[in-house]
Amino acid sequence: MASISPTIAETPAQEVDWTARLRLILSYAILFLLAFTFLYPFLLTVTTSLKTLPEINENPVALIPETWTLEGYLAMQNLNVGRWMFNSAFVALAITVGNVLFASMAGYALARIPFPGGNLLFLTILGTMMIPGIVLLIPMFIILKQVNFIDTYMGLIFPKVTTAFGVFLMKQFFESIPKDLEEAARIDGANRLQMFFRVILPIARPALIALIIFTFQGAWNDFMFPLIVISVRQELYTLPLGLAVLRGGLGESLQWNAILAGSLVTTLPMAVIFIFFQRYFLEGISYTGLKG
Amino acid sequence: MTRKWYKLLAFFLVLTMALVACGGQEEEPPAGADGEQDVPTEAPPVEEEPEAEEEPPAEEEPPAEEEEPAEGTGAELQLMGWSSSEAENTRLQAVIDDFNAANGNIQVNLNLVPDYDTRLQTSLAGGAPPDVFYIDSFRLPDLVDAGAVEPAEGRIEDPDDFYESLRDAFTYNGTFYCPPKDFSTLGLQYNTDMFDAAGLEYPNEDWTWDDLRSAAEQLTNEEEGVYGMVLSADFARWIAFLYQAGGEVANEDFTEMTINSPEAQEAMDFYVNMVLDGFAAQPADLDSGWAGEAFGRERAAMSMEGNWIVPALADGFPDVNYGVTQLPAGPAGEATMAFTVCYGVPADIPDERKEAAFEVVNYLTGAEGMKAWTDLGLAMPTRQSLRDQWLEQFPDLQPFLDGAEHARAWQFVTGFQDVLDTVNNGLQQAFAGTMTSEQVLEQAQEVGTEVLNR
Repeated sequence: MASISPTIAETPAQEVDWTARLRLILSYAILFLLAFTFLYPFLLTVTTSLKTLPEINENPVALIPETWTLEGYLAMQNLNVGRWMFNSAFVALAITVGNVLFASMAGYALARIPFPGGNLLFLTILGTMMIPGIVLLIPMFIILKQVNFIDTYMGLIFPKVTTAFGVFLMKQFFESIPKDLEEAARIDGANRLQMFFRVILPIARPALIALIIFTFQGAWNDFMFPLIVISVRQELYTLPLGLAVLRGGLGESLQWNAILAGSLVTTLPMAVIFIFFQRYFLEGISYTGLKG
Repeated sequence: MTRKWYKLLAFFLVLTMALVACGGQEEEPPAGADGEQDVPTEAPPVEEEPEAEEEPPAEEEPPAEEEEPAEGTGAELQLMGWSSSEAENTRLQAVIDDFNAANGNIQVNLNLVPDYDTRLQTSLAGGAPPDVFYIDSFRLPDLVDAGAVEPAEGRIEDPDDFYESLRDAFTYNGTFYCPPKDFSTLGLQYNTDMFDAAGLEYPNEDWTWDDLRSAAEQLTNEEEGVYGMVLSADFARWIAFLYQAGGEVANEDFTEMTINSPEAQEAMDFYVNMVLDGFAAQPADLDSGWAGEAFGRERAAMSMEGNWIVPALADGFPDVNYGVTQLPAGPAGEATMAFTVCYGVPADIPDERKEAAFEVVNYLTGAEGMKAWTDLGLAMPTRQSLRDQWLEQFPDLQPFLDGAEHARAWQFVTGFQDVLDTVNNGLQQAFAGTMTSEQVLEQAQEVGTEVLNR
């Protein structure tokens, strides 16, 4: 910087400047290196999806392809990717909306409305979180089959429309809101529903955002559940299910470019959403952190 | 404003539910997938290498429920399998289209699914099995003991035409359960450039263990990280040496394990010493995921894989020059392994459906269907009557097909996965020098005895 006060030492100012600058350069260098390290796998995914198979085999970690090719993407042309993407989006959206509504209502009831057995009910809901999902696969299939939900959108959405985790998250959040707010609303003549929708939910925005993110992302990436629900109707596949087909049966030699092209297609919508809603995402995450 | 937002949300939710509900009513419940099966085996793909994709059966008709055949007398059947390379998926669909075109009253819907084992298990347990499904020979005992498979005995045309080793692979407790769809055998692949550079003669059918070992020694250049051979810590490979040495896994009727024998010891020593002496290395030590990749990268001059390596090399390593011959003979002669998959029919579907299912299976494994399927040159025909004609088309693959003559079936008893895991783990440790080959065999014997007594 320019020297402002000539009397108070030109030299020390300059020295400070240099160390500061050095420190800055150094920290940027480190940050750059770290950023590159974290970005590298992603970049590699992008470029590998554009390489030829022999080239991938020759040098898997080279960043820049020698020959650019769309082979990996062309492998998808026989797949119904557009439809699968629609299915994924539709199912994830429906599940998210359901969770937001039902988890917040249930959470609110458990947090604020005393009723007999309320605690027991809450513990039971929590208890279901302790059961590993994989154990439920076959019972789930049998139930879904009996109600004719196999191979339907309903089967993909309905069982997921509310989760114990969501209820838990919302209940904990509502409990942290001072009761005074509701009492003030009641004095103003609001009934329970009005109180919930007009006073409580708006305050719960951070928790809701966290819930939306977790639910949407979970539903978007889910593989096991759609796998058992969709039996023969491949037009109802979700993206992860459909693209698993690229992996082939037993995986001795993998078509890496096609697999990575497929995972890009799956990841991209989530990535775009993340970039656009980054601010809210961080907000949501910090709130869940706070409420732990 | 927030209020509006929540109204919108509620509205959307209702809309969604309505849409979903409508959608639900349209669809017929399908006759499901199938399955039961437990543990994933590490056995090599009997098929060939999987690579890509599946092509979805163009239009899906809603599959009929089991009890009520779709139209009049007609039956609509589900055939469930796993997808392999796109070329194969397309060909199999074409074969099935031919069948559908020729048969008015039986229509087959090919359903190639991801994560086959989970799906099969779920649908078998859920009581909604597909009408025809793939069964790996290693998995057959588990499925049979679970009561999931209908015996094919007497319902298959000309079963004696199948290679004996393949019939054995699908015969359990004396009953023939399902006809083989295709098969693979292990062969010896050698890199011709590397053999030329070392001034060695190419391997041939008369090779013995000693030839293999001395060639591997001369082809190894540890400084450059190149080894004579790539060997996996895999029961499914070592077992070929066991049979070549004259050993057996168990006695004839599987009441007693015999894996801890002098013959087995000899085979184990030979296999493990190749690695310990530095003439062979595992795929992972050659920066590869499997043996074929190490061979393709020319980090190993020889490998012992099945015919699935052929398309994998053609796609991934088109510049590698190599040849194929049969595995070398051991002290007790020649032996290789046959890995195969069959078309199974589930036990708990109505009789009329079973009949229709066997009709489909008979077409697919019969002369006409088998020829159409194997003309692609990836899968090998399981019928001896198709041998000559197939070899005319694909002479390069002869060593693999000839392997069928002295191949052993990759099939044991229910629960044998535990022995497989023990041996794989033991081989791994023996390669690392943390277990002796004696210990590996003792452990295998012990675990196997437990499995047989279950």
